[in-house]
Amino acid sequence: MKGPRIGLWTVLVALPLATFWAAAPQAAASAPAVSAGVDFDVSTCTSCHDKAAAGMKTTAHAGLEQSCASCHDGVSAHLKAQMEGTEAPTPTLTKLSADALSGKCLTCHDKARQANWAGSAHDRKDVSCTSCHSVHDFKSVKGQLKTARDAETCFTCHQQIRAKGLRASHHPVREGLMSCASCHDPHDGTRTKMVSADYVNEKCLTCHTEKRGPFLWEHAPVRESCLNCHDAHGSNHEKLLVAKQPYLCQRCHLNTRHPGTLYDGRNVVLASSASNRLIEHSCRNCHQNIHGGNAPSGPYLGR
Amino acid sequence: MKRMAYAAFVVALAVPAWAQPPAPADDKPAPVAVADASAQQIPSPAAVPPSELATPWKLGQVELGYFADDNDTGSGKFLEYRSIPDHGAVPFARIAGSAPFRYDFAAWNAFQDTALYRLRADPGKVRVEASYQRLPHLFGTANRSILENVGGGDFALANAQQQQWQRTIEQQYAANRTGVNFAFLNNLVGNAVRSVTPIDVRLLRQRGQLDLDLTRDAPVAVRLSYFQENRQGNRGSGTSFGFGNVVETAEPIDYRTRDLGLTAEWTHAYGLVRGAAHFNQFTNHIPVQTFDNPFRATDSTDASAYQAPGSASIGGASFGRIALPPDNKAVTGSLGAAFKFSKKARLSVDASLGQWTQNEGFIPFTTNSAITVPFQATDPSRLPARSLDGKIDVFSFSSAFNARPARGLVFNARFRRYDLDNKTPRIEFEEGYVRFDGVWEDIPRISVPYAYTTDNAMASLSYNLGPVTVEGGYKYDRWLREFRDTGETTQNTLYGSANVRPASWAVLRATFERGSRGYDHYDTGHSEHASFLHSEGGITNLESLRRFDQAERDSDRLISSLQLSPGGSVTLGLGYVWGRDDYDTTHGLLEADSKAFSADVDYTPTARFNVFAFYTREEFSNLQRGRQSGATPSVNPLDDWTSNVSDKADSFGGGFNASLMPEKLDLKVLGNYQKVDGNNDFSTPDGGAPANARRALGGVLDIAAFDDTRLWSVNAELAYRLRGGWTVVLGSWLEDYELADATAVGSINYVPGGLFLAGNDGTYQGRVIYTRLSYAW
Repeated sequence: MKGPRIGLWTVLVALPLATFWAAAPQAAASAPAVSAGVDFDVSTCTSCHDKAAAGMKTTAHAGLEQSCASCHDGVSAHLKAQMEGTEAPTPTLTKLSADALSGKCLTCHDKARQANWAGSAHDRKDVSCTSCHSVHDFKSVKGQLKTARDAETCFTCHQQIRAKGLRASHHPVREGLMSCASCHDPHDGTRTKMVSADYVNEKCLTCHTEKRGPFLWEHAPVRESCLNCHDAHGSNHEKLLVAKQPYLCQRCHLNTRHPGTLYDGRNVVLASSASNRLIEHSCRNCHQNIHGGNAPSGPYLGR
Repeated sequence: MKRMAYAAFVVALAVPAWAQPPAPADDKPAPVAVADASAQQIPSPAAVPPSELATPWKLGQVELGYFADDNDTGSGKFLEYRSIPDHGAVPFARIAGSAPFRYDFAAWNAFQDTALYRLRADPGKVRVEASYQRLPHLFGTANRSILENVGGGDFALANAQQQQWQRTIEQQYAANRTGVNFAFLNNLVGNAVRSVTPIDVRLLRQRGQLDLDLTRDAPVAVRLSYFQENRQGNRGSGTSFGFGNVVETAEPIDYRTRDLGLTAEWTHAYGLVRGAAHFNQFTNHIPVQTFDNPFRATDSTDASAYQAPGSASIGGASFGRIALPPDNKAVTGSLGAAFKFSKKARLSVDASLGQWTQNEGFIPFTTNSAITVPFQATDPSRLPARSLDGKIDVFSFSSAFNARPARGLVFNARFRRYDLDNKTPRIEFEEGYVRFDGVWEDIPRISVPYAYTTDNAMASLSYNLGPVTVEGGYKYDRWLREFRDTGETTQNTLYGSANVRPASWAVLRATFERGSRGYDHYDTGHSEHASFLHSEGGITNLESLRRFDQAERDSDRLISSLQLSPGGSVTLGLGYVWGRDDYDTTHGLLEADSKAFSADVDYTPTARFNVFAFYTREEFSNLQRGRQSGATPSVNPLDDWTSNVSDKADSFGGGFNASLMPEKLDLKVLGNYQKVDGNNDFSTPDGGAPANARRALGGVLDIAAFDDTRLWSVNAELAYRLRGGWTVVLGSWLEDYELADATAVGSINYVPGGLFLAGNDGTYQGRVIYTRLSYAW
């Protein structure tokens, strides 16, 4: 009963609050900040900045109504000063704060998941759009990134994830068949760890749909979070597990008989007492349906 | 009810947005779509003529290649996610332009198992994006199974062979049952294993996606999308007749996933409103797998399903059956809104409702026709239900508020709820079930539809002091669970962080957080008894164990990085990450520690030369304690054992790009190296069951080669640009992988209690040389 009451109170409080806020005058900061009108010829810009212009020729940015002034403030003054040989601020964006830089881009791109940029971990860490993207000199085929593949962009800061990607068990990111953006949306601050789904399991289930169920026999920690047992970035245990079987299973199952039994160096493949509970699929040699099973005789997630 | 309240909340919040007067059309420039891009491989177009930034353009590239490779051990690991043609290939092709409309078609690795084709076209009213991708996964080569895949999910051994082995075993059992041991069985199947034709175990995913932007550049963007993935192949699966007779097979995979989606988003100067609907369907074309028992040609019961074939039993079923993943469906609808307020304040609210269903028919209790008590257990009509009629309702709510109430001050708050309400009916197996097709277990069971709700909230305040921004925040996580040891766990976390920018070329980021998790109660019996119809019996799990996903826990995290780019030609990145989790339990996972140091440097002294390198050192340690028990849970501390896993990983990488002759000759070299050195150190007190069991063997033995691997690879590529857009590339790539993990090295087909595929996915040295001829226009 607690849920509905909280929900209704939230509605009662949020509705007038939202109305009040929405009725408030819009601050200048939220309005597009572009130069008013175009009073210059873009050919004048390209006479010096031909390389910058060439880099964006094939992009939609090339067709912006206000051309360079769509993003760069003070273009006219800069041109005038150049012509007259006087001093004027250079309309470069590189000296803007991360927040101001992102604000420039969000003037147009403030939609879809970019609308959730404000307050995201990246935003709060002073990462700006141009930390990853380039308008004039991009290397990627998609998304105008500064590097050919998005993983290389992400690894600039997330170095430990790159190291994990070199592990024996990994998603095919280093082979280029997947990318960080396969699972994460770096623009969306409303999602935990910026995973591009309502919940981490829902992201995993987009590719591993066979594990969605519901099942007759469920495995509770599997249903709750794939990350209880898997490290999606890579590990040296099969199937990206956070620990090897049977030790991973024994963190929760110390039941009578075999689950609580010690399996040590005496039980590895080439040892005299090799155990089928330590090698190959280990516990899953018998408990195959560890993600959930539909067999009436499988209460222990067997068959 | 609560979901309706949340839905009302979302709708209510959307009202003000609709109530807003429309902003003047010229308040902002025309919307810009996420930009198209040109390929890295495409030479930049010539300098744009003045005033012609948006003039029509077209470009293209075709690349032909020839590859030759060598893999000294034939290990499947080398080609795990790769496809290297041993002949001519089309590594890349692209054609793009802006007239008569914007289009872009690109293909990577055409006609190979790693092919990706992508089309984008913008002919006018509808913008089209389509892609088709193939993703291979080679699990291992040279797998050996004495069971033949005869199609339809059936894996069979020739009847005559099966009958002969059963007779031989029965004769030995009658003469001297202790002679039915590993040596005897190994001798029985050895020749057959050696004579089978090895197979690859592999999977291929084929993914197609079609997106149609139906209302391009309109205030309301509507997108229709269709996705389909076909997965075909197999994977190793521990199909088993009990703990003494694992018969691994290459489980067949023939899956199809389809998703149809419709999304709409209305953007406005004051925010946006968005909604989406998705229908997702998973189909398994092989829902059931059967597999012969090599050691039984006729059905018989087995006293425990633990020991056959062996001196205690030679019973069991002649074949086994496993229910493979069942067909399922998911329908999801979502609605959201974002509002921009004054003082750069923003509120976003999203909610979604979904339902997952599954109603695949059940397989019978068993294949074993000899199990007739309490009834003929092969008869599907004796099941308490013929299918699950499973249903899970999923509700997600997310809200975020961000405001800058004063100059330099930023306030953030976020709340998320994810509710998984498992409405699947509980099915009672009043008379029990069959274990491994061998024995009827008179243990009444009941299925358990686990469900949970998780809430995450956070609030933070940051203040910009010029070169320093400090932030403090609080996070709250709560889990409400059904049928588990705990009913509620909550975690409170405080954190502080600082971004320091002493100069425009330097930024230091550091965050430290401390969290503590607790629970309302911990009841091992509640969890364990949930799946038993009559829970009057004792519990079998160790009562002092606190499972790591629910245990009381103190967590500390430090995340820091320093990025320097003095002078523009050099960038240096340093990172240090440290974490510690202390679990308040005497058994199970006790501690999990990690730390990692990283350094990254990139130096570009001239436009013609760039060199880069990185290094990461990672250290992980996990301490857990177990207790060995017999038929009842041990209360003797001497039966305890500990496992202390410590892994150290060193990763290096580096390379350079050099223009040996400007615009003519380029050289690229890239290398990676990683060595993981792990140990699993065990300890157990003298006098307990684990120590006693190993006394004759020399005591408890650590696994020194635990997680041990070494990987290095070097790729060098020389590109020579000829006249008229032609480029010739010569390349070589060497990769060396060593698997030294004692739990995996030396896989053999038959070990005590297990007949395994024992595929080759271990050590290798792979070499590839290639040449590519490219023409760009």
